[in-house]
Amino acid sequence: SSQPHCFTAFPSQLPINVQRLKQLQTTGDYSDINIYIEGHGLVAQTHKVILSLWSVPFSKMFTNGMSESSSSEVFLRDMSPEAFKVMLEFMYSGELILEGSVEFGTLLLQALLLADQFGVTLLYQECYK
Amino acid sequence: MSNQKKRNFQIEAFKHRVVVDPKYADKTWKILEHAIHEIYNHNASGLSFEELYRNAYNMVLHKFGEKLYNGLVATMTSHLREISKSIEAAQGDSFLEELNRKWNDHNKALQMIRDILMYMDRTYIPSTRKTPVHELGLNLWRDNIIHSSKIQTRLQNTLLELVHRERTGEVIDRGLMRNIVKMLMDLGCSVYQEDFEKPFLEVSAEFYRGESQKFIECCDCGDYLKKAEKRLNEEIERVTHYLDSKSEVKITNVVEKEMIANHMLRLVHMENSGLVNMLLDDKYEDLGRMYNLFRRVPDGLSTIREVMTSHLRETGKQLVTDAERLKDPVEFVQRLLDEKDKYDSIITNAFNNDKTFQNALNSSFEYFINLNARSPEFISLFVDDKLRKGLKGVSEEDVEVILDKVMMLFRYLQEKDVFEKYYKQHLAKRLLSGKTVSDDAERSLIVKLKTECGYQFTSKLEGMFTDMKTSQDTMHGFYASHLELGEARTLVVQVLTTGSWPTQPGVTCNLPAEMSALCEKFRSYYLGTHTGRRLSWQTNMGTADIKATFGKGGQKHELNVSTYQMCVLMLFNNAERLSYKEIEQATEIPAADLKRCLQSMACVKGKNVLRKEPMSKDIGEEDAFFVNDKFTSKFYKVKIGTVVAQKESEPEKQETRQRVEEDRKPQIEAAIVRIMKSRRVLDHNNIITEVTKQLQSRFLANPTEIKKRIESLIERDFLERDSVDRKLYRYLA
Repeated sequence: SSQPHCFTAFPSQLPINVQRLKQLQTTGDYSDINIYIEGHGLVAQTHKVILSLWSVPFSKMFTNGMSESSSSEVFLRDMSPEAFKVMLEFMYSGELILEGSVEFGTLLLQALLLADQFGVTLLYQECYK
Repeated sequence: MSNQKKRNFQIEAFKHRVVVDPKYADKTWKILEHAIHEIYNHNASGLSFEELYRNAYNMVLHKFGEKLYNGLVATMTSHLREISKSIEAAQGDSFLEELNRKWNDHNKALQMIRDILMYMDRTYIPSTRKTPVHELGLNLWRDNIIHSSKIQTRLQNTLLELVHRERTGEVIDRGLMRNIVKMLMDLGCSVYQEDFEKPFLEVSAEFYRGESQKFIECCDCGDYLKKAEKRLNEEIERVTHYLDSKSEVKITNVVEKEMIANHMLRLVHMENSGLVNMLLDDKYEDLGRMYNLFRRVPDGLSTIREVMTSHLRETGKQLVTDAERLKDPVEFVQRLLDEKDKYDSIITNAFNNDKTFQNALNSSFEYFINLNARSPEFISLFVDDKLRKGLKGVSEEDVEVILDKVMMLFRYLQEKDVFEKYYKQHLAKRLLSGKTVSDDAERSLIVKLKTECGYQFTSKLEGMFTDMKTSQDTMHGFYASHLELGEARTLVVQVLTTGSWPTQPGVTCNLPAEMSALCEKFRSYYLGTHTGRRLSWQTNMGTADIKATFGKGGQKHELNVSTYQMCVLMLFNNAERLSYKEIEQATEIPAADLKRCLQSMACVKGKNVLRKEPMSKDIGEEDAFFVNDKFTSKFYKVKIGTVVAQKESEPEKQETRQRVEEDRKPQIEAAIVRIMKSRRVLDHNNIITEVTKQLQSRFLANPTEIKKRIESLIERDFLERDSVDRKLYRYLA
């Protein structure tokens, strides 16, 4: 189906305004980290706190004392920017939305791979469904 | 579906991505190896987390997990060997500091290494059942550093030496100690226990064995306990400062065993300062310390309790058998109460209100109070004294306190019936002489006795109070119907119900003619209003106020005397001189009473209204008596001592004893019948046991007496002996 796949249950039932959160992702307000992917340039202006909440590797990346800990830019490699955006979207909204130019199946697999690499367990489970 | 399966699916799907470059794995590992070097060399800030994490991830993803893992082990091991050398090289005090510094470095490095190898930790390690990175890092530290031959012993000795220095008063770096001990604990329970705790406990035991030996030779008990307590607290404090909290119990056990358990008996029995001296001197603080220390060791409290008990019994025995003390019953009981107060307050203040100690105190009192057969009498005399005068001006609450204490002593008595007998006598005297201080106090005690002994005993006592009240009304009626007798009541009669009062049948004397006429008037008045009753005069229980004029100066006094004394004095209205025999014949007062009443009038200074020839302290049957014309007193009213609050003489004592024994017979019989009625058949020994048990709240029944009662019941066909087994009794309905 071409319908976007939606996952709406926010994991921790926080009394948080998801709409506002999505808005922050779109506008990049208060963003403190720029994500670059090799060969694709700047793909996202986002928030360390959101990445850290979902992913232990990201949280360590921002804090363990290596070069990224004192930088506001992160350069990633070997991944599709579309898949990364799917992951980012999920982190802000709790929704898995697969749309765009890339074929659905490929995108799903790429997202699954990313979820595994960065330990985003809920996304991994959602992709697997 | 399990995570494992999902992962398999995912990896299969991407097989096409496997990099074909045969040098790929070596190249990637070199990058990571270099990073590990940089991390140990404090150059981590120049590394890219993203790069390292991605490379480690790719190695695992491309089935080079084992290479990665083995590389990590080898690299870390070689770093730790270097570190080990630098720690070994540290001299003196810097050894621990260097160890601590390197431990911190290793921990930080390990943290970073774990972060970049997180993917391996999450996927490769669980599936191959290898040791996770963090734990691996600790194990390698343990094997290469802590258990290296050049460090292991040195570390142990250094730590034990520091503890020893602290014990001998030096200040050590507790923070450093804590860090090192924490390190051992982080390496695992067994490392802490084997490499530190076990030797620590051994060395401590040796230390305290030596120290306690030294202390016990030169300190008195109190000082020794202070030192032991101090050491104990120091060890507890040491644990909170830098040891594992689980060590507290173990190290305190060592101190307890070496300093207390091993010297317990020597401490309690220490000459001039041991437990007995502490008890004698009310050393609450020392006693409390002993209690708190001894409770920590096996048999500690029972040791204290036994010594206290035997001391209590010993002193108590002296207290109740000391002939000197027996002279004053009030003082005797007061001393018992003081002793009880003393130990109550020791148990409250020093022994944590320990129930077992309270029980020991009670059983000791019970033991020695009953060593003296006169205790029941003396306790009653004490009450008598209090209720006559001792409670004057004492507040209601304080009266209750005193009465409660008396009841407590009463509870210790085995022969409660003897107490009751005396109590009745003493109460009768108090009531008849109008000498009771407080009606409330009297009644309060009766309520307490009722709670203790039941309605039966107190109903007679209450009957006595009723008689007193009724007699007032009777007297009012008597004088109202004999107006010719005037206002002054020459005769006051108390009509006592037989059975309620401790009356002695048949004891009477010849009253003076003036009195006996009046008595006859009363008799006919009373019998006129109460038909079918019999009155007999208890002249031994009365009192009289008489007016007397002495000598030529005509000194006038009002004398308060007993009825007997009045009878004697009245004789001197018609005679100058009377011999003992003449007085005895004229009054017919029983000899013992007569002697006592003459003695109180002729031999007591200040009360000697009579003069005796020959002058002496005692009354002889050949003595002659005169009115003492030279009698003077600064008071108009003179109270001639009657028999007040005095303990019984030997024959009286025998008599009371006799009556008590007589009273016990029906009680024992009733108990036997009650028991046999419910049990039907019972052997001799069991009857004795059960009867004793039933009666012990009243008195301790004598087995010989029980046997006699059984025989008497058999004679009267209440019981019969079994025809086969002669030890067996059968109840006959």
